[in-house]
Amino acid sequence: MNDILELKNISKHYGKTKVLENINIKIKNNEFFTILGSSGSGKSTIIRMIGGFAKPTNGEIIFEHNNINEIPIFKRPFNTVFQDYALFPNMNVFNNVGFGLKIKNINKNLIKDKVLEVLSIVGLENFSNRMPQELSGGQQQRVALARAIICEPKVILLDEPLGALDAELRKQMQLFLKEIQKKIKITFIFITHDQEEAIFLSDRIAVLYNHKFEQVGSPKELYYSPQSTYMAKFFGECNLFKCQVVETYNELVTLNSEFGKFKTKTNKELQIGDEVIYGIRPEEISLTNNENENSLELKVKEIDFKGSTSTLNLLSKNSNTNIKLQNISSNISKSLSENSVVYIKFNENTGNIFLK
Amino acid sequence: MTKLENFTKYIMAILTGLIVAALYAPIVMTIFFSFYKSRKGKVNWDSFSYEPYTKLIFEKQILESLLNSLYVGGVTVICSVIIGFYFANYYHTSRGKMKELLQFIIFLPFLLPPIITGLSLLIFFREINLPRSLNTVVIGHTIFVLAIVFKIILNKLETLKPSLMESAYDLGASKIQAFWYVLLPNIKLSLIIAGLLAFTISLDETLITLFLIGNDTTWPIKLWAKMRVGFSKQVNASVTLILILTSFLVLLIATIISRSEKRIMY
Repeated sequence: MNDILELKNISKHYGKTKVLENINIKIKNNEFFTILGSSGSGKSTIIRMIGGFAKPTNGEIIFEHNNINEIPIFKRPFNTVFQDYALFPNMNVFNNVGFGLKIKNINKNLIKDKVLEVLSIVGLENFSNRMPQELSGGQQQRVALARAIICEPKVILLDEPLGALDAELRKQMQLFLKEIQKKIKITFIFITHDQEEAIFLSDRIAVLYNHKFEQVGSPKELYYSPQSTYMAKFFGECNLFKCQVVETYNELVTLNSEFGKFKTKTNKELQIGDEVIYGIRPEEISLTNNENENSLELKVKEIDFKGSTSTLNLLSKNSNTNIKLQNISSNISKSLSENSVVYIKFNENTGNIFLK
Repeated sequence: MTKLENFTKYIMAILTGLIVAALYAPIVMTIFFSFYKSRKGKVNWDSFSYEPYTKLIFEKQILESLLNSLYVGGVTVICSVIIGFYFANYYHTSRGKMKELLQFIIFLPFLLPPIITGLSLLIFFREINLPRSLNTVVIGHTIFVLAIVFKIILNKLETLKPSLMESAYDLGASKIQAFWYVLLPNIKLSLIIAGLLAFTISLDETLITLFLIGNDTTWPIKLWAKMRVGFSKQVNASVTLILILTSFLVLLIATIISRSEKRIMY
């Protein structure tokens, strides 16, 4: 896929307040790209700059190899779906959806055909005479999307469009958005603070933290190969503990932790004596029957029974630091009790090493 | 429903009726006495006549003053609504500190005693050699009513989501198209209300008018002058006509608004 949009060294300051610092990203054609961040992290500011509602303090916005910093909103080939839908209250659904074509002086019959076609895509063909205030939140959302689609933009910007919907409707709309993006093949840039929503919808996700992108990648990359301890904790749970490098051999390293020594693979260049943090997901750790070369001996602190599987909280022998294991078959965990001694094993190909 | 509740309901209904009657009685009386004569508090029921209305047509001074008032009121409405909208929109969209100063300047003539506003304008017009006329009255009235018009329009603008205009631009509308198709239809009611209020205040205004009018006269000043030398039936008749005219205008506007809300663009 070709790149369609690029943000190059973008910074945004409001007076002395720094909102974004040195943002760099390339967005591919037809991808569902999500910007994920907590409230106030500046994610809406990025979308507002792309849409032309705000100007970057520094940097360039490049669309199909052209700098569009100075192009006014109404000339940019993007359309926005706003968080509050922003439907025109003085127009019915038909006129709302047809607005973008009407102001381009397109033939009325053509507008009518196009509006009805787009309304059928979003499943609202029988609602064309309704006023926005007569529609539910989900329906209003579909009208807002139809209004954006009809202009055939190169990119659709979605500024937390599902934020105002209840949980059930939100799930329905997520599915709807995912399907419609595949159907119409337009690049979607989506904003959310919800990790699950981002994972479900996106081809790629950019996580915004501390005014810049902490990591950009596919949902799987972000989950299984986090590049920082923040990222490791951001998606799901992760056991993080301090270690020291005691041996290196090609890409294999031996780490010494308070739980004991273990081997793991890494592509980072490490020296003996380096202090690092090792992170591993609770479901990536397995129990082993007996002590062997790469196993660690721990004692059970807590067993959380969840039906067919259980979650274990284990303690190291010499300290109070605990480690969590998930999806352990309850067949195995039922034979364990508090303070039982167990052996765990880290697969060499799992887990991540973070430099301190 | 208990007896006490019934009793309270009737008492409330009677009280409401009395309040409405007290509010509207003077207006009804004015209309009534434009048709009937009375002497020493007694109505002469045989005296029904259209004469005050027919005479009014020949009462050139009252008619002229009425037309002057309508001219002043009409032009004041146009000027104040245009300027009021412009300032309110600037105040609403601007982030600068000057906007607070602007609001203060707009409100000052309305908050000052009208005699001060009238006198200041009189001195100003004399200094710039602008002769007093109906146009100087229009300027005075516009400055006076601007605060009300500005506030009504600003209140409406503040209820609109900022994303409304943004989405119009986003869909390719120029500033003029966004104003015409999105902003104007959504604030038209407040513009009409502001205009009606401006018209009413202008029609009623006497103090500033007295300072700025020159050789012409407006309707309230003429009525006031006439009442000093005795009450004539033509005064009642002209009040009744104005009442009918304004009621008709309000009804017309209400009908237009309710129809336009259902209108489809294509």
